[in-house]
Amino acid sequence: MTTAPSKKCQALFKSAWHSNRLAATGAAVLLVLAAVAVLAPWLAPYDPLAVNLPEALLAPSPAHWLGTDQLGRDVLSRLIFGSRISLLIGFIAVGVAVVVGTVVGLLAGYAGGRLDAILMRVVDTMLAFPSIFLLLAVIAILEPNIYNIMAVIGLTSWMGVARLVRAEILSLKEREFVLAARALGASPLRLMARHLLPNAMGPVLVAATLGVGGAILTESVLSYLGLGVQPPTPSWGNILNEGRVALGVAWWLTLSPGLCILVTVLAFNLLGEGIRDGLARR
Amino acid sequence: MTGYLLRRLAGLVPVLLGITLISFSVMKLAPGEPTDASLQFNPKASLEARERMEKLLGLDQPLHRQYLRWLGRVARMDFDRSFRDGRLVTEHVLERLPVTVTINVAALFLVFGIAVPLGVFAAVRPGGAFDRLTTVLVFIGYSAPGFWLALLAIAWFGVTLHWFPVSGLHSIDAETMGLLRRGLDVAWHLILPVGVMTFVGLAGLSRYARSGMMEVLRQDYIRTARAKGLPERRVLFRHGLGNALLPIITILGLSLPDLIAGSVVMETVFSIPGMGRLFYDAVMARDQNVVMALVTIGALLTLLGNLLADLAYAYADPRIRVGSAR
Amino acid sequence: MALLDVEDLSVAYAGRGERVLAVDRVSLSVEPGEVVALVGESGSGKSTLALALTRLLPSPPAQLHARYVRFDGVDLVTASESQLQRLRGGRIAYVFQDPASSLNPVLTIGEQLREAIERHTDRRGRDADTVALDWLSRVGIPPAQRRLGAYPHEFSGGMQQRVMIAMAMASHPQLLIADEPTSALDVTVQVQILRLLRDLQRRLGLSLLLISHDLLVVQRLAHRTVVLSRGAVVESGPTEQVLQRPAHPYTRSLLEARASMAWQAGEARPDA
Repeated sequence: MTTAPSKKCQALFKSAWHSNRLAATGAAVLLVLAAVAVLAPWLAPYDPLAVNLPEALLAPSPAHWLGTDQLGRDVLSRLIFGSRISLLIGFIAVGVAVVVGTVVGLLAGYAGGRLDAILMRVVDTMLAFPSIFLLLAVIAILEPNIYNIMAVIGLTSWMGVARLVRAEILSLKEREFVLAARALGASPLRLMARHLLPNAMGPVLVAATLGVGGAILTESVLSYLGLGVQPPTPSWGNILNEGRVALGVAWWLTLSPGLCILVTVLAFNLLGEGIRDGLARR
Repeated sequence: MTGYLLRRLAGLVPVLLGITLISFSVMKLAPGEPTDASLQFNPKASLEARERMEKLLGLDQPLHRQYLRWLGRVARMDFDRSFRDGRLVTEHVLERLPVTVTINVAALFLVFGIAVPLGVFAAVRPGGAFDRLTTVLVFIGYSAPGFWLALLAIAWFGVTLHWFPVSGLHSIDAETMGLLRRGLDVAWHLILPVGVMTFVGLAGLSRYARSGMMEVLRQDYIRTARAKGLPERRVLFRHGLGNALLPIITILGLSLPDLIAGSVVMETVFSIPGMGRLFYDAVMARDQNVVMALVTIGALLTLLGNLLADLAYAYADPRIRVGSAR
Repeated sequence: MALLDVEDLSVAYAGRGERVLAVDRVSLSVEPGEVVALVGESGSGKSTLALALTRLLPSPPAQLHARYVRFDGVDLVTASESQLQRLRGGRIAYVFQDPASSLNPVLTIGEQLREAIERHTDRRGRDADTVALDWLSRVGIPPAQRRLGAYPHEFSGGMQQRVMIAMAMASHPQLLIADEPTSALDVTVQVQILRLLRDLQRRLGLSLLLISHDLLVVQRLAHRTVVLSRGAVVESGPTEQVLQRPAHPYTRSLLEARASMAWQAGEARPDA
């Protein structure tokens, strides 16, 4: 019969850890990042919003480890607080995508027939839009605040999850334990919740992990283009935006935020791939 | 084969409708009326004038009628006029299209031409030094923001080394150049943007090339080819690559939306007057007509790209082209 | 002198820390014109052994050791890769179990046949195609289907296997190694393919190393039988002797399993 979901989770983490040091590194990096985000107010040496014009555009020094920007604000502090934004937006956007995608995929896979065809057409339609186009168009219409950003990123990236869940449900539908449960008279809702869904969560976890990285990248693009997190709230993307004009003289405004994004997204990618390998190995 | 084609086209119709529906709905979401642009600075515009305008534009009709009307115009490629300069949107698009297409096609070719040999070599010696190096580079290309890589390229190759220009399509004195020199000048300006796009695109494709090739090399017919005593090179290329290219074609087609999206960022960073830049400028200026036109066109292009990729695949794979077994 | 003479062949796989012997010091020989059957359950190492003979096993995971593997006097263990490539498909040919997956789906059968013919004979181009067509008819493919421009998926399983046999035979090999040539086919087709192999073998004086788990097949075709269990030879000798008066308990258990299946299927027992 089905294995309890928690036991599966444990086995999952164990196999991922042992067999893939890269994934473990990714996980470690993410834990550090999470700690930084949570402890930001205590870790940041300066107030990220504190304008200090006499100290503008200073190169990295013992006083300001990563230099200052055009308004004299300490870059390191802004980056530390920026991690909060990135993680917050990343997780919530992916949360939205996973919820919507799972519901759609579950319905499509379980119901089959007409509903399936319709839902999949919707997925195909959404997938036809190059994501940035739709994102920018919609965000320009609504205003670019954090909530809108999270919602819109989530609502333009659920399609992959939907397809994954649907594929898993389709293959699981015919397995013995499902047929047995149906024979015993389980209601469709119970079937979906207790039997189908937990077993389909593996690939969804992989997609979600990779998706957080993707969402962070998307947010950084939006912020760089000026339609994401608005200054003065620091986001890695809008720090890059502000640094663009000073590219020739203040390289530190471009190098460090980009590296933050790179390392973070890389960590999520490594972790996601590691989970995928761990799942495949089982 | 024709049956396949017809079925694919039939399947596109609901998606096309869906695209137009979503575009239309987003358009209607926008605050303000299209009439505002023409009338808002005209203090003499009376209520009647506004009503007449609305009637002219069909804005007094129920929504579904407006949709059908809009659909008809889109089918004729009529996207109305830009709010900013009043010129036809279609004109803007046609002006900018060649640039974007050129850049994307160039990048596509390069990505394909590099990713495939990369994937082959990596698959032949999995775990080797080459494989590991390329995996690292691929992961970085995958995880780094494209625009950041572009900025770095500008800072390093453009500003510091002065090898390439950092913005625009033409040098200042382009007017004075002969045709050939002007062409080379444009190419010189495009090297950095195409280079960065290629690097990012490679990150995506070479992983598939590698895993696709490894999958193929595991197949029985590779064993047969070796058992026939064929030299290894022939086994790898004629038998191995010949089969591995099939899924790669599909992936190329599927990566079209990402390329189009990438154009927005790249053209903005490099100040290149293409469709992506047009889109960005329009968004910032709240030029709704242009924005929605490009969103729709972008989606249509994506569909077209997918269709072409599918057709290429169907043609290349004898199992589809020649029909199923008896 | 034996055409194929194998002495103490072992194939090992280095797993995580442990070393697994897929083939354990096997010795066997095949005389010119002889049919030798290699029997055993799945997992007994038969297929690994077959591929190991011409070093077709991918060599980082697999490790080969042998006193010698002599084919017509040449030791294949120490031979160079180019020597082996000339032998493979030329004087030693293979037929594999699943023809559908063993044929390249994107090349026509004409192209795949021509490849083999041009590699191992001196026929080229149109000439090679003539040879290919000739072989297609010799393996019993009806004229209507003898199209070189056809793709493998256009044929049925039995026809695909005939194509594979044609591909193997086109270079007039001395030794044909057939790894479960009929197991993936329908029962009626199996009989036809076996008959084809037997006819080819008799008419051309071909040596055949036949790998099978089906004892009835073995009984009908093979002069000698080698029984393999867990990679090692447990019994070998003239087929009739091995099947009628098995010396080793494993052979006996194989026979009993076969007999009870046959009994249930209503067939006569092999020793009846």
